[in-house]
Amino acid sequence: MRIAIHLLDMTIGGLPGSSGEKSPAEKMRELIQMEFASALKNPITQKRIDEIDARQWKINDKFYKTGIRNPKEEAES
Amino acid sequence: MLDEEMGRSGVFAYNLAELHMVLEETARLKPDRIKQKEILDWLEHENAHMNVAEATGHTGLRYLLLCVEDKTVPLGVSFLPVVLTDAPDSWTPEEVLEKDIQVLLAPRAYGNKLSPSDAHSLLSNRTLISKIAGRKNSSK
Repeated sequence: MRIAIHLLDMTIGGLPGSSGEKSPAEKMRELIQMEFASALKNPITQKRIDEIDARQWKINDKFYKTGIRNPKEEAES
Repeated sequence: MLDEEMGRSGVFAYNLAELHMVLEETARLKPDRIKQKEILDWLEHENAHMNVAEATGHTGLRYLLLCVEDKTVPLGVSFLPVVLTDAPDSWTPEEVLEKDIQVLLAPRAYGNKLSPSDAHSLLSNRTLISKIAGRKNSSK
């Protein structure tokens, strides 16, 4: 339901020429484009993804073996 | 820390409408390679994971489209859409693994296919569940 309301809001706000103000959809699109511009300059490497995965597996593996979580280690991961 | 790093290399989306806009942007960036069919397929796949993750009680749900360095393609990046989830602290290891399996299998339940990484994680989770059960049996 929340998504439906959000979409409706974007549709109304997005009508061309309805006002000088940018619609929520236009603002969101601009934000996404800005985030893309930044992400494209800083792409992650497959090697780094593998490192993150390995670290995550190591933390999870400890939990699977002992049943005890380590919030500090999890927060740092 | 991980979110911060991922955020630098990708774009987060917190609902399906936002994810749709993010994926449409990929098509704008690579019009020759990414068409509506790919976008709908991605949406269907990630939405299936998300729907089941909501039902299983996972927390911290969000979508992320990662830009992965790839010199062999236009722009020098490939796009990797993922769903990120957290497991509540109260869950036992078996619960975490079993609920993750449900989330991993979600695309198949919705008529989509599992990604290679879904299939790999599924196999690992099942192996771990067997190991945990084996340990429990041997300690009895």
